[in-house]
Order: sequence, then structure tokens, then C-alpha cells
Amino acid sequence: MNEFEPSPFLDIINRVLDGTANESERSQLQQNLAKNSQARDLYLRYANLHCTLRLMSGSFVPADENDVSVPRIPSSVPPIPSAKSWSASVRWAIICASMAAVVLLAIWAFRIPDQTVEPIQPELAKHNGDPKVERSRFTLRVVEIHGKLDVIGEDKIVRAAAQGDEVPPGATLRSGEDGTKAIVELAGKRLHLGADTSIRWMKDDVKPPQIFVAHGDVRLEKVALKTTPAFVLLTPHAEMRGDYGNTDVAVSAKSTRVAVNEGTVQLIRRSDQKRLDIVEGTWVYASADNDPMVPQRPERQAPEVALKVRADRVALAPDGKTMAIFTGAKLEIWDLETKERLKAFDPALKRVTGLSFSPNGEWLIVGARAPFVQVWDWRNERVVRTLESPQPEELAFRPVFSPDGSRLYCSRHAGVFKGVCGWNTLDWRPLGVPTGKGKVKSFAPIPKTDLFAAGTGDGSLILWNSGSEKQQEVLRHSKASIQEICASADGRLLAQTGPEGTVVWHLSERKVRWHFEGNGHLAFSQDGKLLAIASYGYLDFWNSETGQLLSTIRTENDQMQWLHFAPDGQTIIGLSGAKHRVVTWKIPTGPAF
Amino acid sequence: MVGRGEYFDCERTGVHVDNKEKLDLSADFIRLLTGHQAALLGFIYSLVPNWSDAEDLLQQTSVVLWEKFAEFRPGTDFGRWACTVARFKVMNFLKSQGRDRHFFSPEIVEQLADQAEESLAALEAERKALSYCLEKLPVTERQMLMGYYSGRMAVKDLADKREVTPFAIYKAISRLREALLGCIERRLAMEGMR
Repeated sequence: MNEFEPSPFLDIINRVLDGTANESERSQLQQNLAKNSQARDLYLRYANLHCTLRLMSGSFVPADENDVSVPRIPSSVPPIPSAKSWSASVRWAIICASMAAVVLLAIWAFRIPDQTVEPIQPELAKHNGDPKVERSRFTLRVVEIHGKLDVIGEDKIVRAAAQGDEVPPGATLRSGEDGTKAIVELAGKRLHLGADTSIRWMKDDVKPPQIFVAHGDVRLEKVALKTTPAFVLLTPHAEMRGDYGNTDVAVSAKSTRVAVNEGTVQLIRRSDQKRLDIVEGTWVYASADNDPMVPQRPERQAPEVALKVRADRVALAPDGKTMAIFTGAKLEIWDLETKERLKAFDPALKRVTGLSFSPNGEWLIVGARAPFVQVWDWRNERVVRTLESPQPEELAFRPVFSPDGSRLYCSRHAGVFKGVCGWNTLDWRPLGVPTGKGKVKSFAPIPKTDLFAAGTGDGSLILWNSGSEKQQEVLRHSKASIQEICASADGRLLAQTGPEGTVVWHLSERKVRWHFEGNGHLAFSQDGKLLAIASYGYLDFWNSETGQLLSTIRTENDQMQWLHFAPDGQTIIGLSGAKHRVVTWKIPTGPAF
Repeated sequence: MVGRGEYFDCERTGVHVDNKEKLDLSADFIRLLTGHQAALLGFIYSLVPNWSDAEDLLQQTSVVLWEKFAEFRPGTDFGRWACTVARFKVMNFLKSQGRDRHFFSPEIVEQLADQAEESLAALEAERKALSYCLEKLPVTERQMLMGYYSGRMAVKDLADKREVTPFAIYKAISRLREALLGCIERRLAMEGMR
């Protein structure tokens, strides 16, 4: 075994959390935490690990090494010492609640599984308000079971699987530990499951791609999936298997693109059964045509740093060259062409979460916490208006003006997205935002119309009229949450993206134009012909009308936090999440463009 | 599908709790507090990485949460609300400690608290995955880890028991933490949460 050497930074984190760090180590950790959100993230994960292990070990009694019991996280942190203001009734209630919990746990431990679970109904899909309900073309069916096989629903309800069962998307199949063997079938493919194995069917039905994430002993036909966890992707154009989490997949109606960041993925094209190992740093484009399926190895392309100033949040003015930047401490206004800083002022805001310019470029909205939203006349460095949140301690995300500048909206966030707020910019009267009860995760104005689109956690795309303050329509492609929305400048197309892929709608027809697996931050070109999608390590350019992938830039290991086409039509601007810099790339050219 | 949706307006709604409801509050409170205590302690411990201080602050926070529980709106995020209260408690505590270098500066604590509040769900998932990952550890290593964290076995005792140096124990514990975090990553990836 290799000698383990923790990195110095991890070592310091652990020493601080163990209480063995010296002053210099604590100071070093502080410096890292102050300037780097990734360092804070790592520290928080380790603090969580230390804390949980301490809680779990609270009931630990040193025993002989044959004691194989695994400690559990206590449901409460015992004991809560008494306090003067802690009323006797509450202490009594704690005792009662603890006793009730013990009884409930005992009942749960000795429950008869079949009596306590609800059957899981196969999922059915509804599209675009169409009352016609389609049965899934692809079903995951249990063919044979020798031993124990459980179906675990998205809602964590567990029931025993039976032969012939059809398992809905989103559910997990888990086999028993002792000698279980099972065969399941999806789209004509048989998967052999061994003991202590789980498979999750990740994709919605009726869409072509189907993905399993498997852990344990799984065989697909005669090919053993040795990696754990592994995934199998079945698309109209190709089958694929390999390491989960290190591969970027984009599937459209016409093609499958597979880009491998780490390890090797095996791809088999359906049309001619051509097999190909795609190794780290390469990508392959497989379509139904018998085109040469050759791995591409683009060099990582470093972007040009447009402005040498730290940028945590950015917004581009309608003139395409004036950029507002929140540096972490100050608001700065820059001219992107001359690289000149025009203004710098301290907004005295806690936690800036978003910036946006008014359509005439005169006002800058700053979304934050305490106060919630500030509207600045940035040229005169003057606050025009401060708007408070409906509830205390909320963050204002994605502030944005309506296309005519008469209304201003932002989404409210307090741990979760809680809805959208709006104000009339003439009299600052609060506006009704008819987005219903769904948790709005993203919203955007649709240019050339009075409409706004809001994407919710349950996959609903709500169109509301900001003038009449009435909901106009609800579109839905799948149940997957919508995390970002972007409309083309002519208001014809709208793209939504989320964990299960990106969907492009034709708004006048209210129909899905195309969709594909893969997601990221979105931007339409000025003429609406291109849709750029920035995922981790890749920047893809798609034909927004046809859904054809035109070109891919392999970027550095970085996730853009924001994306925008420059008005020159030749450059795309991004906010680098890793570098905290405004960066640019040249848009690829060629016959396809 | 054209229709009038439900309005979500921005007017703040008041909180009204009458006396009768107070009788039910304690049961609700206990249920919510016990369900969120591990997360709350983790949150506090990340800001004040000293176990006994963190436990004290948890107790003080719990008292304030109970006192203010009538202001809590059912259906909203209790964990988030509790963290906000805990954050104030931590800031007051740091203020009372002056410029003691054993603690993080208030600015760092603010940054950490912001980030931790946004990661509550992710950290909760990691806590759950940890139970599974501990099961996968060899028994002897699990025993050593639990002995170390329980504080009931000194590092020297652990070292003597295994006939190694205390340094080797520290190193082994580090390796186990790394292994656990790796396992948690894989587990969450498998469940589609990463």
C-alpha cells in the first residue's frame, strides 16, 4: 500500500478540528478560508465529518475487536443540559418524545415489510398539457429473481420486487446480500445483477437516452462492469459504459457526444456495432450515419482574461461593453473595450448575489442580503431605491428588469428558493407574481413580449404576463427541476436546463424544438442562431434551431458561472468560477457556423 | 391551460399564535429540534471548532429557539431558521472572547456561515452516507476511529494496543478520514446526489 501523505492544507484542517493546531497553522487556515470558497467548502465537509464521528462515537465503548457493531448518528445530542429559561414542560416533553421515539423505533424494527409499504406505480408522462398520456417506450422490467430484490422509490418507500414488475424511472433496485441473483431488462437489454448490488434507473421515460447508475456486481450481456459505481447509457445512437461522474454526455435526437474527463469509456455505435475506447481528454461524436467515429483530442484552450480584477458577480450592460463587477468587497464598473475602470464604490451590502442593468443601462440592480435589493444610479453613485425582502434574512437572486424597464423582479432564497418578488419601478409598488406554489428556481424575461418564464423544482415552466400579473400558461417537458432559463433576443426560443438535460422550446408553437442530455450555463447568440452551454471543462456551441452540435471548446477544469455572447458576434464572455475572472473565448468558425 | 395562477405576493404575512396553539408547540418543537440537532451542532462546530464550546452554544441556541418558537412559521425551513439563530449566538460568543486567536475572525465566521447555510442539504446527505461508509471499514479500523473520536481512548493507548507509534495512529486516522470522504463521494454519486 502506498504511504499516505495528506496534503498540508488537509492536515492543517484536521489539526484545527482536532484541537491540536498551533497558532501559525490556525492563521494559515484562516488566510485560506478568507480567500477561497473551495477551501471553505473543504473545511466545512471535514468539520461535518469530525462532528458526525464525534456524535457517533458518543455511545462508543471500547470493546474487543470482534465487536462489529456500527455506531449510529444519535437522533438527538444527549443530554441537553437544563437552562433557567428552559421550561419544565419542554423538558418533560423531551422525555415523552424520547420514549415515543423508542416505541416507534421498536415498531419499525419489527414491522412486516409487505404490510407497511405502498406499491409504486409505473411513471406515466404527460407532455405540454396534452391530455394524452403516453406509456413509456422503455420499461425496466424484472425478469428473474433468485433471492431478495427490493424496489426503493424516489420517496424512499421500499417494497419487495416481484417477477414481471415494471420499475419506474427514478427508482432503485437493490439486491440482497446473500446469494441473490436477478435479471432485469431495459429496452431489450438484459442486465444480470449479483448480490449486494443496486441499480438506479435515472432517466425519465419517452426520452431516448436511458442511464443506469450501478453499484456492485452487474453484467450487461457478456460484458462485466468492473467499475463501481458504473453507468450504462443507452441512446438511439450508441451504448456506453464506464466510470460514472467523469464523463460528459450530450445526446440530441441526431447524435450522442461523449467526452471523457478521466479514465476510459467504451462506446458501441448501434448502426454498425463499431466499438471504441474513449480515453481521458478525448470526445467522440456518434450519429446514426456511418461517419468515421474518431476520437477527437482538442487541447485544453485557456481563455483570455478580459479584466484583471476579481469578479464574484457580473452583469453586462445593453451596450455590450459596460460591465458591472462585484469584486467581493466593491462594486466596480468597467469598460470591456478599453479595459478601463469607470467607477468603484462600496455598496455596503452583505453578501451580493446578483447584478443586472436596466434596459437603458442607467440603473444597476444589486441583489443581496440586508438589504435585499438596491437600485443604483451607477453613473452618479447614488442609491435610487432600497427594497426589503418579504421575510428577514433572505437573499435576492437573479435580479432582472422587464424588457421595458417598468418592472423589476428577483427570486427569494433562504436555504431554498421561495418564490419571485416584483416591484413596479415607477411607484415601487409590490407586484403580484403568479407563479403558484411551485418552488421557482430560475426565471427570465422573454424579449419582445410582456412575458416572463419561471422554471420550478417540479419541471413546470410557468409563463406569466408581467403587465396583467396573470399566469398565462404552464409548459412541462419532464419532472426534472429547471435550474436556468434563457430566452433568445427575438423571443422565439427559450432554453431550460437542469439535472436531466437541456430543452429548447419554440415559444410561438409552445413545442419542444429539441433536447439533449447535458446541462450548464446557457447563452443565446445575439441573432439567436447559436446556443452556448458551458459545462464543467467544456463549452459547446449548438445550432439553436436544429439541435446540431457545431463545435466544442475543451476549456480548463473550470465551471463558468455566467455566460454571454459579446455583441461583436465573435467572442463569448464568461465568468470563471475557479479563477473569479471575466474571461473570453473566440467563437469557433467554419462551414457549420 | 390558460388560467389565473395562485399569487405569491411580496407582502409580509404576520405570525399569529394563540394560547391554545402553544400547548401543541412543545411537541412540534421537540420533533423539529431533535431532527435538526446533528446538523445544528455541525454548523456551530464548523464556526467554533472546539467541541465543548460548540456544545455550550448548541444548548444556548436551543433555549433561544424555544423562546422564539412562536415566531417560527410551520412549513418553513426549521434548519435554516435554527442556523440563523445559532449564527447570532456564535457571533456574540466570539465578541465576548475578544481577539482570542483560538477562534476564527468574525469575517471568516460570516463567510463560513453563509456557505454552510447553503450546504445544509449536502452536508446532511454526507452525514447519512457516513453510516454506510463506516460499515464498509474493517472492524479494527472502525474501532480505532471510534476510540479516537470518543475520547475514551488516548492516542497513546491506541498506539500501545497496536504496537505502533502515536504518529502512526494520527496518520492512520488521517487516512481513514480520506477514505471515508472518498466513500461518501462515491455513495452520493451512486445515489445521483453528486
